[in-house]
Amino acid sequence: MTHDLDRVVAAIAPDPGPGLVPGAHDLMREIMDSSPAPALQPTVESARRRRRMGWRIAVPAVAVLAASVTVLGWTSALPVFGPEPVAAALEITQKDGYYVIQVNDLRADPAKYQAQLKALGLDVSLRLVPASPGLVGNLFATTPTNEVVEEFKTIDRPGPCDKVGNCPIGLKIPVGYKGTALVDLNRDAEQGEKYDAFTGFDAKGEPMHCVPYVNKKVGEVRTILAERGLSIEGFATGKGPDDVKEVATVPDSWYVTSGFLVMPGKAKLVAGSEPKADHLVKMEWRKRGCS
Amino acid sequence: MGPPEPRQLFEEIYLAHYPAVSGYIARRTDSPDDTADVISETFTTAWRRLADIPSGEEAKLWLYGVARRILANHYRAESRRSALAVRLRADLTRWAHSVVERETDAAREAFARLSDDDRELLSLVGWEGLNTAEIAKVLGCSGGAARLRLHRARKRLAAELAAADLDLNRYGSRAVALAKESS
Repeated sequence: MTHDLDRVVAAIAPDPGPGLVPGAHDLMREIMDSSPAPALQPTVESARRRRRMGWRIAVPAVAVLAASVTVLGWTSALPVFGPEPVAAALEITQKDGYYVIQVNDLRADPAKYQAQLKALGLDVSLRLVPASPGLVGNLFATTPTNEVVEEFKTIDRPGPCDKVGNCPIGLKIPVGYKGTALVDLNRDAEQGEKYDAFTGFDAKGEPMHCVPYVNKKVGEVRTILAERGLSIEGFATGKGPDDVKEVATVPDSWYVTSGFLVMPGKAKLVAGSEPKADHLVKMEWRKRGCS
Repeated sequence: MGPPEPRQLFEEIYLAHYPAVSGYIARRTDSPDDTADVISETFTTAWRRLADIPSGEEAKLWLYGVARRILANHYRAESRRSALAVRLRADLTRWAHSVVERETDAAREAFARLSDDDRELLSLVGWEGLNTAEIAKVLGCSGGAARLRLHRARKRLAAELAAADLDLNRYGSRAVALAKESS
């Protein structure tokens, strides 16, 4: 039986897009070329988990990187540097059935974190990931098969947060947690070190947030970037279906439509000979909470 | 004949399900950039987890589920931009230019007032044409739970339509009954 209400919903369906356009074929090849072919046998652990969890969806490493922005976050409440060595890399207390964990030293050897957690019977590793400014402090907890660990909670810092996602100051792991987990913790990058986690340079917490640069010409954007201590590392161009590439330079008269930081002080710009549609620019501006 | 090569298998899955999956994503994103990013992340996930993708039509439901999760994360991530899919981005931008903004009507506004969860349930039926068993797989819940949640979502939509003073008879007796039931 078809419900009349379902027909109401069907009648307002947005346009589903253009289907298998040439760019979709390109993307398919890009994906297959971007990482080695996966094994076709599911791992024993993965198969077991799937039986247990049914259709719970897994998140792969690449998406984890993308989403490291999201699910959890972390900002050390304590200074990283100082004349005195910190006593322990992590500060761990126990409350309401959880280990409450805060980072004392964001640059400690990961083995130190692991040793402290292991002493509590937790098989949890911490990994430090160089990240662009808006993502520094965020963390993402996954199992060895890249599924999000939903049992872990965060403690959020009270008050406003100037980062993407939220601004947690600690992690809560259930006492007696028996699983294996890897926690990626985003840290600042060193000078010259490439970011492994990054977002658009106009996202919250990034240097171009709420800076009106979209559809300005490359030359103008170069000046805007320079005022913020940033230089251009390269360009991605998307002029047309048969003319897409990453290039070192483009004409200064081209329009900049987006960009991201690739390492401290270095930005890559997405630019083209045509500006982005005005209504899209306005929509994205509003979506980022800029006025 | 041996088992399929990963690339061959991925191509088969991609070409079979790209139209439906890209449509699912395009209907739930606001800009060509977002659409391209989520499509790119969804199929990158599929490539990495190729061994876990069910066969046949179930692959589409699995991909919907992945896209749904990425959409949830993506919006929290604000404007992450993938380096992939540059050409797809251009294609989608041209498509967006060509789409004529449709007039907003009361039904669209009523739908927009529902919660994200309700909209998703109703969309999976009305836009993707799924039944409750298929919805259960996308959402990772039992068939019974999907049925119940869908029933409640329909009731809430009926109530919103009624509140908007729409002539429910236009949409049939079923809607009228549901609106009365929920008031």
